[in-house]
Amino acid sequence: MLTKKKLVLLLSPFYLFFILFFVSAIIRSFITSLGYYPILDQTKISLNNYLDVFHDKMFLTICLRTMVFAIISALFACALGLIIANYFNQKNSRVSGFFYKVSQLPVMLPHIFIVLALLQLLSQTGLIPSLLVHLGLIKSYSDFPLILNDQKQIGIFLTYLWKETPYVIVTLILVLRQIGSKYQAVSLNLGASKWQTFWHVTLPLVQPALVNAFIINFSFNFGSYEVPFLLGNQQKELLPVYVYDLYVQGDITQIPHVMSLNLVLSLASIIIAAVAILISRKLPGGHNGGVR
Amino acid sequence: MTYYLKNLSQVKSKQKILDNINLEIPEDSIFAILGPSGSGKTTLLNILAQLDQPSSGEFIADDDNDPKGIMVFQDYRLFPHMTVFQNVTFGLRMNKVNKKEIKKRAQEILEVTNISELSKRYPDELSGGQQQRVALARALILNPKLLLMDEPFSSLDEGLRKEMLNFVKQLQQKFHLTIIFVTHYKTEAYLLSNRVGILLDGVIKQVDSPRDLEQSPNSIEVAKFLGQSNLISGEIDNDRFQSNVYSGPVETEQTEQGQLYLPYSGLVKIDETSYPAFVGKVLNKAWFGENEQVIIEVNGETIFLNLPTDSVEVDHNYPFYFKKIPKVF
Repeated sequence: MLTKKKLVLLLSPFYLFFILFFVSAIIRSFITSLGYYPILDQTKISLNNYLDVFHDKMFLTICLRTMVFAIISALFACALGLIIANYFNQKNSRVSGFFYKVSQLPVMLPHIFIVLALLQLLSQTGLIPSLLVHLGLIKSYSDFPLILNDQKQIGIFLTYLWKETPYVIVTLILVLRQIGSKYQAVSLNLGASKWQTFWHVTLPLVQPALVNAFIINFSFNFGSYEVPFLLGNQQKELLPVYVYDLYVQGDITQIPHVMSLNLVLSLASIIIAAVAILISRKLPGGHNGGVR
Repeated sequence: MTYYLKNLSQVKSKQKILDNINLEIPEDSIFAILGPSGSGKTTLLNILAQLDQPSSGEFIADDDNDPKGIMVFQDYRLFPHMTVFQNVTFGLRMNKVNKKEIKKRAQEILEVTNISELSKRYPDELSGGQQQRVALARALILNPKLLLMDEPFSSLDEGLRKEMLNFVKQLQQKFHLTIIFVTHYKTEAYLLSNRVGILLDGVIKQVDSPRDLEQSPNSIEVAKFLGQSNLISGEIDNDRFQSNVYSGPVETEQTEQGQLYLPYSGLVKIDETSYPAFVGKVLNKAWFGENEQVIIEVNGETIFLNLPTDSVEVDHNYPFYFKKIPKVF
């Protein structure tokens, strides 16, 4: 058994790293966002930058758009992951085992891989439109619908699904395997149908893991820069791109404002995660955080 | 309603798990299936609970061609995300019984099983005995005609086990249930049921009362499984057995060699009968309640017997007698 002192010592490298790079950065960002920026001789502390943020209609529109998009993408990945994980778990055959292994592949590949793959495949000059033109199914490249850099963010959505659905599958399969079929057997024996068993037994048992996967997916979607930068649409900009663009514009006087945006972005992400956890606790299965 | 298991077999991965099981289980009775781990007990219950399909054979009842037993599992399997009330009413809710009726039946069954005050608790807040009562209530609320119990008392400590055994007996009498329960503890089987089937390697070897099983096992496998017996090797000549321990008439189907079956209890007595057994020296004895386990040396062989307390003294020689002619396998 580890003593408290030993535990603190063992964890100290992590805490040092955490305090040095994360907490200090947050504190510095917060101080700057309050208007304390000595490089520009700004030392007066106020909430003006935050007031500006909440009066900035463009920011609020982009923030809301990004949040809704991140939530919808994460929900879709979770729903799809749940269906596939449940299927893999029930079909315990070699074929489903092979597909389960294959489905893990995207977890290991970076987002940029699928971004580039989508650009190669689905842009209007990509492989699929070329193929369709050659097969005579469409007349010209411009007949192929705009999927990438479109206003509906389909390209970004597909990238998130590609990367995050397998993550949900891997997470849920582990929980489903831990649960096994014992509760399903009880439920069926007590007269429940397969659907009732899934809805009343399996789903609540995996619910905490599913919500955790949702939070991780949402947090990534909400803060991801490179995917919306490469596949997004300028008229329907997403928040990380908007904030980063402001930061790299080179206007040093905007730094405190950018910092306030950054902190609002982080706070929004944390609030959504907290709300998700609270909802999870109130839902069936939230009592003990799932299976013990 | 009598239940019939007819030529029931189960083969999985080319391995025969159950082999031609034939049983007749009358209603309003407790039938115990006793067997070691891996003998096919749970597989058999799963078939009776319609959680599995047999490879061949059928399970039917007098007026039901597709009977289904409600199972109480060894590890209780209470849904961890549901309260006791939700667990108990699960079956009714899934069968879309109206809320008023659910509440009424839940109240009754919670009272019968003495868990009314636990209705808002979650399974991880209950003791083993309480969890078992909830599992029983969850099954009983469905008014099952056939209740299946898979090693129901194996996770309980000794005191609680006896309490639950009596409780199950009371429930059986109150609800006129037909109970089939499987166990690998013979004491449990004997205490709960007066009709026990011995399942070994997927085959029902013998169905008898506990007393008959102990005193007249029909095969060496059953005798060995039941344990608590001495098996003495010897030779047979015209229904007479020859060995270091006993030489005399026996009941046997063997012709040349065999093993004399001497259960610890019931067959060998210190009181004189018409069937003299052997003379032995008491080497040691250990007290356990009304009986003592006595170690006796007979012509260089050691045998164990359970005899009434203080009926023999250590280091003394005694003549012993059989209650009836012994059996040789």
